[in-house]
Amino acid sequence: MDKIEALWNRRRSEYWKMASRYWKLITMNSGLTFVLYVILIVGSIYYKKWLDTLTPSFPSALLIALAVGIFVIRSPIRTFIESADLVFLLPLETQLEIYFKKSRLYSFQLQCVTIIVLLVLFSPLYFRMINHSFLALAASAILIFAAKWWNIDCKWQEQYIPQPFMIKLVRAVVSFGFVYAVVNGRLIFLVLILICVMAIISLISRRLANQRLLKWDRLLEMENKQLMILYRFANLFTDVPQLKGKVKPRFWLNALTQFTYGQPSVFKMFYAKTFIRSHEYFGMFIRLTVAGMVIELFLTNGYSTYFILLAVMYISAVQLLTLWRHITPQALADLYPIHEQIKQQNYLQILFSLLVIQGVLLSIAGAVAVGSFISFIILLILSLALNAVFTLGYVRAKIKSTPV
Amino acid sequence: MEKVLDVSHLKGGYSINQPVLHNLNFHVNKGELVGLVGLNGAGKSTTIKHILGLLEPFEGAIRVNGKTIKEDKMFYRSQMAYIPETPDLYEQLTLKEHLELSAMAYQIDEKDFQKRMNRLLEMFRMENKLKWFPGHFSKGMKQKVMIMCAFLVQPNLYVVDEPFVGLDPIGIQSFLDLMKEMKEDGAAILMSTHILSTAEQYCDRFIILHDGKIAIQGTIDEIKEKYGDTRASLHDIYVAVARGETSWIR
Repeated sequence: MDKIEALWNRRRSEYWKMASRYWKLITMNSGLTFVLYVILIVGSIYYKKWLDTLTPSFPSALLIALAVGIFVIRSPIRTFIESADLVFLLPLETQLEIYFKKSRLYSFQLQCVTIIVLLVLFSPLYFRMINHSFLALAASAILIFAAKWWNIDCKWQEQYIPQPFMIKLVRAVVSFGFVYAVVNGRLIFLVLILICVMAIISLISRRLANQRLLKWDRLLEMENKQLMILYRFANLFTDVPQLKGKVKPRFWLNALTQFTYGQPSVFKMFYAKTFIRSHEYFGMFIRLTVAGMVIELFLTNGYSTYFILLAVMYISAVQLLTLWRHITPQALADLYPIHEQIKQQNYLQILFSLLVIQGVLLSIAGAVAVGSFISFIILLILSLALNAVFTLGYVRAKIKSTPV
Repeated sequence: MEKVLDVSHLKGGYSINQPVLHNLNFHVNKGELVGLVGLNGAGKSTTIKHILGLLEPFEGAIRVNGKTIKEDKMFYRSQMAYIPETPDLYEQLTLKEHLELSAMAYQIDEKDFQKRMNRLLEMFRMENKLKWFPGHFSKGMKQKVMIMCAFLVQPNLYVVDEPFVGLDPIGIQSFLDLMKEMKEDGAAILMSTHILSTAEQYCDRFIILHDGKIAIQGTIDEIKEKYGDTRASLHDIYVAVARGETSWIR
C-alpha cells in the first residue's frame, strides 16, 4: 500500500527534521563539537599509551564482546507511532506489515552504524591483540550485523508474546556468546552451533508470536523511550517543550518539602514540590550549580570566582522566576481562601532558600579552589547580598506588580 | 429559610458587549440541593464561574451568606468548594498532597483532616493510591480526587458542575450519599447536570436555564403542574423547553 509507505516516510523525515533542528541548536550554543574534538585527540593519545601496557593475557575479546554485545542485544525498533495511532491505525493493523518492515529495516541500519563506530573504536585493540588482518575484522563485522538483524527480528516477534522475558534472556545469552565467539576468531565450531541455536529460537518465537496479537501499547512505550533519549540529551543544552509538565516523583527529596501543617504553608509546599518534581526547574538548578562549581575549581585567577558565583546565582534566580507563574489548577489553588500576600511571601521564601543553598555550595567550591577559609566567608556574604537584593528587592517588587 | 447563595439580577458573560446571562434571579437555601439544568451553551458553566468569582457580573450581585466577593474575598472563598466538570489537578502532587493542601488552605484542623481523609478514601476506594500522581489516574479517578478535596473541606456551599460523567457506580453512590449527608448538616448545594433521572431523584428544586435566561424554576411538582402534565418527567419538560415549546411558562 502506497499510502502507508508514504506515512512512514513522512514520519521518518519529520523526526529527522526535528532532530537536526535540535542538533543545530546544541552544536551552535554549547561548543559541544569542540569538546568532542578535544576528547577525541586526548583520548587517542591515552588510548595508544594504554595499548602499549597490555599483556597477552588481557581479555581483549571479552571486552570487545561486552561493549559490542550490549548494542547487538539492545534492539529497540523505531516505529514512529503516536498514541493516536492506537485509535486510528489499529483498524489497519493487517495492512501495516510494510510499515513495520520498514521500521525494522530502519532500526537495523541505524544500529549497525552504532556497531560500526564501536568496531572502529576497538579496531586498534583488535589489530594488536587478536588479529592483524583487516579481512578478519570485516568478516566479524558482517557476522555481527547478521546477529543484529536476528535480534531485531526476535524483538519484533516479542512484541506479540505476552511474557517475553525468558525469550529475551535466552536471546541475550546466545547473542553475547555469538559475538564473543566471532570476535575471538578461534571458536568457529561454537559460531556454527550458535547459528543453529539462533535458527531454532527464531522458529520457536515465531510460533509463539503467531497465535498472538500485536501489543500496541508496548510498541508505543518503546517508541516514546527512544524519543525521550533525544529529548533528554537536547534538554541538557536547551529547553525541550515535550519535557515540560513531566513529573518526576523524587520521593527521596521529600524530607526537604515538609512544612508545618497549616494555611501559611500551602504555597510553600506547592512551590517546593513543584521545584523538585517538575522537570524544568530542578534539573536546571542542579546543572547550573554543578557547572558553576566545576568552573570555580578550574578558574582560580583573580576575581573570577566572585564573578562566577554572582553570574551563576543571577542566571539561576532569573530562571526560577518562572516558578512564580507555574500553572495552578483553577478549581483548587485559584479558589483557596488565601491572601495573595501569603502566596507572594511563600514564593519569596522558597526562592530565597534555594539561592541560599546554591550560594553555600558555590562558596564551598570557590573556597576549596582558592584554598582559604576567609574566601569562603567572603563568598558567602557576597551570595547572601546578591540573594537579598534580587529576591527581596527586585522579585518582590516584580511579583507584586504582576499578580498571577 | 436562610439563603446561602443568593443571585440577584445577574447579567454576565465574558464580554460586556455580548452578555451570556440575562437577569438571573435564584437562591439556594441552607440544607437544599438545587439542580441547574440546561442544554450545552445555555449558560450553566458561565453562571458557575460568576458564582466562583472567576467572572465579574456586569449587573446584579452574588451573595454567599450575605456577602459579595468584593466585600470580603477571603470570607466568600472560604464558604464554598467547587467540583468542576473537567478534573483540574496539580500534575506534580500526589493524591495525599492534594488532600493535604486543600485541608491546609481551608484551615481544617489536622485531626479532622486525618479523620475525614480516611473516610473519603475508603468511600471512593482510593486507600492504596495515596502516593499516586494524577498522570496515572483515569478520568473517573481524577474526578474522585476533586470530589474528595471538596468534601474534605465541608464548606457551607458546594458548587458542582456535572459530577457523574466518568465516575464508577460506587463513586456515584458515595457522591450522592455524601451530598445527602452534607445537606442534612446544613450545607447548600448547587449542582449542574445532564443526568436528569438522578437529578429528579435527589434535587429539592430545579432551575432550567435556556439561552442565558431562567426558563422556569421550582420544585419538580411545581414545574410539572405549570407544565400541565403531572406524569411528565423532568426529561420531558427539559426537552420541551429546549425545543422552544415555552408557551406554558408564562
